[in-house]
Order: sequence, then C-alpha cells, then structure tokens
Amino acid sequence: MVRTIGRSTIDSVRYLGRLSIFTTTATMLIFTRPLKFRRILEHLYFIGFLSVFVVSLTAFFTGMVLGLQGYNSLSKIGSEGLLGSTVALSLIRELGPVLAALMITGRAGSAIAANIGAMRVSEQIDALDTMDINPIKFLVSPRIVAALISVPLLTAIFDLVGIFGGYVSGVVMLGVSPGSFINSMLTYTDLNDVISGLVKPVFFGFAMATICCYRGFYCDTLRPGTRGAEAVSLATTSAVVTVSVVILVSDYVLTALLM
Amino acid sequence: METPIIQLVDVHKRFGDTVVLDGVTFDIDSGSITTIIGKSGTGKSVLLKHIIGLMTPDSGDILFKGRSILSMSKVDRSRLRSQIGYLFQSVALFDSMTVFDNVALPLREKTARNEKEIKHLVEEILTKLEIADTAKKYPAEISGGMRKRVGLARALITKPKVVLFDEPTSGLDPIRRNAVHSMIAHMQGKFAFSAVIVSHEIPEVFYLSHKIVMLHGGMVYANGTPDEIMTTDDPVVRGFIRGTDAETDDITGMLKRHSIIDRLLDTQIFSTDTDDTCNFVVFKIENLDAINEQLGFIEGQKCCQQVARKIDSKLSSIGDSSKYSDDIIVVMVPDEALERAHSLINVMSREMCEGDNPENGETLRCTLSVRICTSVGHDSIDEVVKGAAGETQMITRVHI
Repeated sequence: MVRTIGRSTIDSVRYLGRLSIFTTTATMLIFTRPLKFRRILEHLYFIGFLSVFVVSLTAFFTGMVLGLQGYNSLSKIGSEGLLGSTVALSLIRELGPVLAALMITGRAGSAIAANIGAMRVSEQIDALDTMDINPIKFLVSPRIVAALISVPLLTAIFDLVGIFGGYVSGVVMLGVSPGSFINSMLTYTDLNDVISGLVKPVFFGFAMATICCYRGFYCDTLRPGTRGAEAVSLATTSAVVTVSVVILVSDYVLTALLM
Repeated sequence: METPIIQLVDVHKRFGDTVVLDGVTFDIDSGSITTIIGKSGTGKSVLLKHIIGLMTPDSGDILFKGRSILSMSKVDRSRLRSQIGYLFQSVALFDSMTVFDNVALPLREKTARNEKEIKHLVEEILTKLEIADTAKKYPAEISGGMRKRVGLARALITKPKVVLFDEPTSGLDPIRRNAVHSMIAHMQGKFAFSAVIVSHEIPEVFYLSHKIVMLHGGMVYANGTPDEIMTTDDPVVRGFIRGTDAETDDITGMLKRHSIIDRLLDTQIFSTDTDDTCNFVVFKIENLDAINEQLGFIEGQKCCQQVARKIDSKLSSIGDSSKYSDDIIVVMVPDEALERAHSLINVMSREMCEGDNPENGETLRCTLSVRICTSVGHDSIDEVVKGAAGETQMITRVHI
C-alpha cells in the first residue's frame, strides 16, 4: 500500500517535472530564430478556423438552454427582464471559456496529441532530430502560439453566439422584451467580466496545447511496453481527460483569483 | 594512416534486463561502405541510433574524426548531425508534406538558401533518383520503393559526410532492391560519403560494401572485407550467411556468388594435380554505371536481367552460371566444353546484335564484354575474374 502510494507520488512528481521542462523549453523556443510565421498560420487555421463551426453550434444551443432555464426561474419571481444579464454573465464569466476550451480540446487537442503521437511512433520525430531540427520548436512552439491566439478568439465567438442563442430563446420564442434583454445585459455586465472571461481562455489554450503536445510527444513512455497505435490512442485519451480536468479545476482557481 | 571517420569503442547498451550491445568496437573508414549484418534483434539499428546520437551508450565511447561525440558541446553535436544523413527503416517521411517539401525540409530549416536555390537542388536530386514526377504527391500516394528513394533524397540533399542506411531495401521487390543497392553504390562513388548500411540482403549487399561487420551476441563477431567474410570457415558466420541466403539470385535466377566460389573450392580440394585448370566465361556489362545514370537504376537492373536470361538460355547446358556481382556474370565451364562455349558465345553475340539499329544513335546501348579466364591450381576466383591471376582471353565485345 505504502509502496503503491510512494510510487504513484514519485511518478506524479516526475511527470510534473518533465511537463514543466517541456513547457518551459517550448515557450522559450517561441522567441528563438528562425521565426516561422507560416507554420503558426497553419496551426491557427487548424485549431482556430476549423473549430469555429463546432464552437458556434455548441454556443448557440448553450445560450438557448440558458435562456429557457433562466426564463423559467426568473419568471417565478417576476424578473424576466434580467434574462439578458443572466445569460450574458453566465456565458462571459464561466460557460463561454470553459465550454469553448472543452470543445476545442475535443476537436483540436485530441488531434494534436494523435498527430504528434503518430509522428513519434513512425520515427518522424527521430527524423527531425537526425536532421538537427529541434522537434519541440518545430512541432510544439507554433501550436502553443496558435492556441494562445485562437482559444480567446473562439471564446469571444462562443460568448457572442451564446448570447444570440439566449436572445432567440428568450425574446423570439418566449416573448421577453428585446429592450429589457439588451438593457439588463449592458447594465450588469462590466469590463472586468469581459477581461476575466478572456484571461481564462489564454490559460486554457496554453494548458491544452502543452499537455496535448506533451502526451503525443512522449506517447511511447506513457505505459511501459506500449508501442504503435495503442500508444497513440492512449496518449490521445489521456491528453483529453487531463486537459478537461485541468480546465475545470483551474477554472475554479482562476475565478477565485479574478473575483 | 587516416583516422577512421567514426570509431565505436567498447559500446554497451542494455534495455532493462536485455543486453543489446555488449562491448561493440569497430571503425568506419572515411569514404567507404561498411555493412552491418546479423540476426534480427542483435542491435544493428540500435547501433546506428548511437552513431547519430538518438541513443547514448551506457558505457563506451563513439568518436567522430577522433573526437568523442558524447563529450561534445550542444553546438558541436548539432554541427555533427548536419554532417550525417539517416535513412530510416520506416523512411519516416512527413505525411502532411509533399515529397518536394519533405526533401526540401533540411535545406529550409538548416540553411540560409533562398527558395529558388532550394527548388533547383531538390529538383536535381529528385531527377537523379527518378522520382521527379512525384514531387507534388504526398508520401501516402507513392509506392514503397519511391518512398525509399524520397528518404534517400532527403538524407543526401545536404551532402552529408556520413550516411546511415537502416535496412534500405526492406519490403522492396528484387529489381527495386538491386536498384537501391546500385543507387547507393553510385551515389557513394559520386559524393564520396562514408556509408553505413544495416542489411539482411546477403550477398547482394556484399557487392557494394568495402567492409562487413557481423554482430552476434551483442558483440562484433566478424569484421573484414566481403571476400574474407564470404570465405571464412567460422561456422557461425557461414551458418548465418547461408541461412539468410537463398541459393539463387532473385532477378537472374542464377546461382549466387558463394555457390560458384564453393564449387571452385570443391574442385580445388578434390584436385590432385596443382596444375589442374578451371575455366570461367566472364560476362561484364561494361557501361552499367552509364545506364544507371542515364536511364535509371531500375532500367539498369532490367538490363542485367535480360543479359542474364540470354546467357543462361545459351550456356546453361555446358556449365553453371552465377551472378558474381552487379555487373558480372560468371559461367564455370569444364575443359571438355570449352570449344562448345566459344561457338555458343559467337552465336549469342550475333543474336544479341540482331536487334541493333545503328541509325538510332541516341539510344544508349549495353556494352557486354566476354572473356574466358582460366584458373590454375589454387587461384582465387576474385583474382581470376579480375584478370590478376590465371590466363585471360578476350573473346568479344558486343553492343546490345
């Protein structure tokens, strides 16, 4: 029992140590020459642009559900007029950053882990090493930059589309006054809410990119004796689960700090 | 004496309880082709990964031009890697990049060349390796043989001093296998790099190698020239070579070189008179290099195949024919059949020239020389074939 606890503690510390070194190296390499903007653009397209549809779809229905639930609750105390602020604050401060980050992790993060993992098992990362091309700078750093840019932008899209979904549900379908919806939203939402809602996705994007890249990069060490496709699938699952947990736990911490 | 370009000194490596390398020591000479052979799992690929620095030994040292790689600074090690090319067994091309981008990658990332120069260099090497038409394709869209050539192009594009080949012909058909071997020999001759090849293709790989290193039990078990390894009496080496080696050549269907060597040795052993002779008709494609260069390595191999079939169909009734090297075919002829061999060669020469069209001056023709060599006593077949021993008589030279 003690041995098991001790071993898992050592493994966790070792994992955190390696992840820290990996993250620090990848971050530092962002600022070293040569700067390859084209590669960053490619990843921006993949992580950002290709996620717009799924993020918007999720946001729209989340907003609609918020509008529906909010209307039901608020109408009991005769405060339907506050629906706009309820929807907007829920989305901007909490649901937008968290749900957008989870959706991006599911779509792009899993692909990042699988892609880099496949490169590891097919010796493509070794090939980069033999050509004296730093694989972390080549594969990880551009993805981190792309995630740092695209996750906040996608979160902003999530917020806007979600608010629109709440408007459709509350105003168009349930008959709340459009003026009171918009007025309450503008009255009760201040700049701090927006800043808080955009700081979180920066952190989530960074965590998503580094953890997914790390899992893929070291997929062959995740479980002893695991190789090939099995290692890639394990790395992908592990990356998505880890990032999701990190997002939810860190959301609480960040909320407490930013309040 | 020139310092070897790479020296492995007492290299040990273990994975868990498994000892893979147990004191490996040997040298790789500059400008030569060294081939590492051995059973699967004896650490051949691991050894290559130690040379390139993808793995570090548990103990021992690896020297590059006399300097320890292990104690080199990061900058020096980086400089060293830029001088070594590596062709992976799996080729390890980047799936998301076209063939052109794969080959251009080391130039784009590690040199200051502009895109125009890069385009010129990449197109040049793709043309040389006969894969220019695949430039815009992705690795998944081309055949295994082409992928190998793309890998080779990527390994050679920076003109490295050392190229490491990890089973460069695995998974290829016989013609392409031989074409890749010819290509390696040709490129090595042209760029004068030092090559280290891990291969199971015995004896084909012996034709192009200057030195053979056999790993066994984690150590260097045998180390010598191809002829020394081929003719050794050591039962482990002989067992390994014979075990991996089919009796006949895949392309020509003829006996392989070791068979004709064995037969000559048998003749010499059972011969009571030291003046007993043994005759060989030696066919040599004089311009195989030019054919490879101008028409491509696959065409070169097809030419060898056609010549071999013709020879076999004419001379198989009078002696055993054997593919001696990439461009030499040897037929062992007993004394009593020598006369008949002469007349059959004449008939064959005439038949081969029948399809010749002198007006078509632009077509490159295969030049085949035919000699009859006679060994006396215990002359080695190598000396006889090279004309350095015994008697040699030039019979004819035909353009096919």
